[in-house]
Amino acid sequence: MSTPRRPDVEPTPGARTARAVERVRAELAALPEIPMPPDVAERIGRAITDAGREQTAITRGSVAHGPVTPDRHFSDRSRRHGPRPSDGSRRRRGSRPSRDRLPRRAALVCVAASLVALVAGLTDVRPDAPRPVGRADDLRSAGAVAFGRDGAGVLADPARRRACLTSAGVPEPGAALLGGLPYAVDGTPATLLVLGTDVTGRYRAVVVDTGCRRVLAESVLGR
Amino acid sequence: MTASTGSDRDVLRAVPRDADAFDEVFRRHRDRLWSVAVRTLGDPSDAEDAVQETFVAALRSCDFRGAAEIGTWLHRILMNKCIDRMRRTRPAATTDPDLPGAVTDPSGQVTTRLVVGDALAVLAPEQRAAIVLVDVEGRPVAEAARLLGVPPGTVKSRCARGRLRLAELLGHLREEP
Repeated sequence: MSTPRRPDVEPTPGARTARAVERVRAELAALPEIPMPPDVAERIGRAITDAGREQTAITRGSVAHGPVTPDRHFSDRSRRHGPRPSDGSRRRRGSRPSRDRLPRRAALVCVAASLVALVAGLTDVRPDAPRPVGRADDLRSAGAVAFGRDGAGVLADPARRRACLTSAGVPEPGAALLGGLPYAVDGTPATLLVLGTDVTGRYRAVVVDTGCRRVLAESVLGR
Repeated sequence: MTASTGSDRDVLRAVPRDADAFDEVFRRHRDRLWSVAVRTLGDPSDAEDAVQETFVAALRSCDFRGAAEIGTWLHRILMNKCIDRMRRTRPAATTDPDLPGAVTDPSGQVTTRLVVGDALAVLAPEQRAAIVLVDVEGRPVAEAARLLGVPPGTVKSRCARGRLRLAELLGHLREEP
């Protein structure tokens, strides 16, 4: 049995439009997924890896405690290897330690800094180094911790580091990188870099904000 | 269970402990997000920036609570990035795309027949975003409205005008199917 032939009539403008729109929708629905080009995937993957490593470092140093600072590292160590705070409390993010804990904290910082400096071959972390921009003792200790660490993120790349340090106004932006860590100064996320100098046994600890706009803190380690 | 074999949620849970775990999320969702970004923004460079910003923002925000599928969560971030980018790059003279006739009809200037993927680039950005989500991605109007931050009625009208514009551009109104 043959299908009855539809009368050959001109569709109305409305029907023609509706059919055209349906055809557009069908074509849109049939569009295939566009694979990300390999070079784009590589660039974005690298950016994610860098961000992930920084994020992991920050998370490890700040779970329930706050951003990464040398104080935090030592606080975490004391928490792992020693008693919890007597009141059982955890410091809130960004809060400063109470005064009655400062001597104990300072002692922990000194002990840990000495140990790390010894391992790193930094036997002379002088307290009378040139006046730093930021918290001097924290930064010297953090510099010792950062020595030999690969936490500089994107700034591990020499060209990007040079551009960043130049942008931030750091002298000798081409200095060798000896270590780095994600860092925070008063809650501002940044990167701590340990840079070589032309004096044997002397190193610079420089903290630049993530936008490479300025130096948040700096200090000299060693001789 | 390793990050590469676990569910998206398992992988995300591993991120705070494993610096490379988020790479797996990227590997799983990159092509889908890339497609949406390229078709929404119409420019590969802008798309690359938007997708990178999306994944890095997702990694840093850590605000996924399992209330939605991770793909939807990433799409939401991506659409916000795309919309921000479209707003920044939109010419100042462009008028409201929801008003009939507000977008210059380039059909008279188009001498070569376009395929639908290319014709998308001619649409106004807001229409393009709605069309990509609803007609290309197959998302419900309500979800597209949430992603775009506009009422569902606005999504419907943008889609309707966008489809009509595409039909004109593709010559479907002049020829038999």
